[in-house]
Amino acid sequence: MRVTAFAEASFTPPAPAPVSLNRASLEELEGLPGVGPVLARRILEGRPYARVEDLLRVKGIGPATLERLRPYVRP
Amino acid sequence: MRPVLPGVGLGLGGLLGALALFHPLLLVLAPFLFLWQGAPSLLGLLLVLGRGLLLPLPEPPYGVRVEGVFTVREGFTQWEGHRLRLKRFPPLEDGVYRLKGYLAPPEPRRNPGGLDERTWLLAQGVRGVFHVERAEALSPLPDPRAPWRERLAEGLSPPVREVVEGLVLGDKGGLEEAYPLFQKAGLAHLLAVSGQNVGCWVAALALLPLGRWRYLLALLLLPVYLWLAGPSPSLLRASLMAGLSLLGLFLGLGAAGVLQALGLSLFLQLLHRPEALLGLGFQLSYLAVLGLALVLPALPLPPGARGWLLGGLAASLAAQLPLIPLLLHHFAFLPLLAPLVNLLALPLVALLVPLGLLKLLLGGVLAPLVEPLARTLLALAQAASQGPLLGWGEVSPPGFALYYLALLPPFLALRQLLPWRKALLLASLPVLAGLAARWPQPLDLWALDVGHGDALLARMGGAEVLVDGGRPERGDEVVRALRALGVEALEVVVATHPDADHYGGLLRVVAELPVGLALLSPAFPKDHPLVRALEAKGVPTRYPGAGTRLRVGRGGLEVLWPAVRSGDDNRDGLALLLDFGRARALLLADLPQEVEERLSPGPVAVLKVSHHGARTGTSEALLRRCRPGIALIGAGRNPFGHPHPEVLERLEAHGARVYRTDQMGAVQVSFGYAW
Repeated sequence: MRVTAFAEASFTPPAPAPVSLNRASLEELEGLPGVGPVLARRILEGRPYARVEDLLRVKGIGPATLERLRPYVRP
Repeated sequence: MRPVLPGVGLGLGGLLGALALFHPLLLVLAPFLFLWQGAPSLLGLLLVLGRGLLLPLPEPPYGVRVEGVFTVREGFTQWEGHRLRLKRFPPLEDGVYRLKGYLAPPEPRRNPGGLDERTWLLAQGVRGVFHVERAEALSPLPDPRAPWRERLAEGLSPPVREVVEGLVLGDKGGLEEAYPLFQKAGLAHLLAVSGQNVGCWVAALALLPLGRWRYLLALLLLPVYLWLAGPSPSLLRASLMAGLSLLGLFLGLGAAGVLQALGLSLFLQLLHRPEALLGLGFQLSYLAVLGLALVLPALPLPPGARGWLLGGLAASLAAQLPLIPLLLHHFAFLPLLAPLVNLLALPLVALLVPLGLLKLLLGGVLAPLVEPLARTLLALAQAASQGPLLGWGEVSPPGFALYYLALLPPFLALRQLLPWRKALLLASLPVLAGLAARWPQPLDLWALDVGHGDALLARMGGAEVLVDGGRPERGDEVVRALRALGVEALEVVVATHPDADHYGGLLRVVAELPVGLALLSPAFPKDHPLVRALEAKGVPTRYPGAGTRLRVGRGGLEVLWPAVRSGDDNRDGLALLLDFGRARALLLADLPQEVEERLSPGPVAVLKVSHHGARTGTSEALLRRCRPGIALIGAGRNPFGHPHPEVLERLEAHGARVYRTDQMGAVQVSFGYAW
């Protein structure tokens, strides 16, 4: 028995550039994984953020959500 | 043979040089070419090889994030000296944009018969794809050619306008529905502007009473047409050939012979960019003219109308013969009436092309003439597209070699270098070898890459079974893959359950290919689109339960589930056991673990993992019982997290090698051949 794969994947897309919590537009915040229009608005209203951990202040963001968002955001 | 044609030598040398860039071993042919064609061939070889080695096409830095202002033209843009293909849905119109995204390598082919983006782009001098994540339009890009195009379209009905744009400017953009008709009629080459158009352009100017200066005028105006129609490989080839002849005439050296001009323009085009050789349009254009140049002068034609008619037919055949394996390889079918249809189309095109060129200047005045002619051509394409097609799958490199070997003896006979009886005998040898190679029928199981979904093809020694067909929008890709694998008709089509990522593509398959029998899960309602499509085609349809067995080709198919109905689509899916004689494969559709518990397939070689690798299936118990060595997973980008890491771990722990279509494209498990 012989198995042949057509195309070996050799490229993984780069991680998206982190979005600034203090300067991003509403639309950019909505593009974050697991962030909908409501949460995006709350993040906007919770500005400013000195550290990424300050996101915990926002209603609806717990430690689990924070860890999921961490690679995608910066203060 | 004496090297009397330096152009031919340069061209052949350049060709070998360009080929050697991709397959260095071919350089062993260089001494033979030198003996045959002399110094020009060596010069051509060294120049093209040197061009490719010293100034290779640079590779853009893949994975880099890019942001800035870009000018987008026809889906391409420039970035730091790299030409890049843009990827975005929906595609960007021509214009200036602020873009943000990342660079990636072009994708290799993911399915049999699928687009090889890497080769397609490389032939155009592109090595990077710009995946656009964010685009902000800044300003549109005015097309200076727009007034010309408007004059060409003025006064014409929409379908005619598109055909005329194709004929005159080679613009296939608007031809979505008509193009397949032209392909199936064998007339698609008319829509790639080339020799005929350039010939009209040049002939019109050469009629001016300006002495030899008219040649210079025509030469200087050639680039205008190139600018209007865009530099497609076939138009570049024709323009170069015409340009060389015009230069010769202007300098008082006489027109270059066709072979001479063909060789020179091949050399120049390859020197400009050796990768152009990989383009299909490039290959078709050169081979067609080569066929014409080699065959037509050697043909004894009777005088008068009969000679014209026979000449037209011979020209059409001579241009087509060298292309046949390429056309079959890329499109998997060949219109058998093409030479005849082309003969009928010839007078229409001979009128339409000069009229269209004139219409670029005059506009609507010519519409009453162009409209009926183009309508007749459309009607001809429509009628001829119903004609018989020769189907054949992808052609292997030895297949190409055998074909051209078979063409050689008749060609030598035509040139009176070989008696006809010997030639036919010699030609029949490669033909027989080719047919013999098709005799052993493959036994294999293909998991086609249809993104997130399943499409499995089992070739069981002369009869084929297709199990599911991916989402509806993947149907065309599945049909192309089937044709490329030489599948003309399906013995059995199975739709395991009525989820769109399983039955969707089958709608297209049923419309395009003859089907012997359809097996559907009992979960399909009677008014389901697939059920209706099968009914409309008159395909016998069964809703089997556990225990149904069929003999297919040299193997067999057994339905293991459903034994009882539950009302849940996934749970009522069909579980299949395919027996290839030497090995068996278990296909589990989207069935959950509760169903797996009730199956007793015995040991199998291949397992099509349930539900794209979801955690709901592929239990320890099942793996212990059927001990698969190979696990196939049909998956693509999906929000469900398929395949689940736990499932992958379980498979690995039980010693199954996992093959995922999202990472590997189509996967073939080959069990050998049926003799």
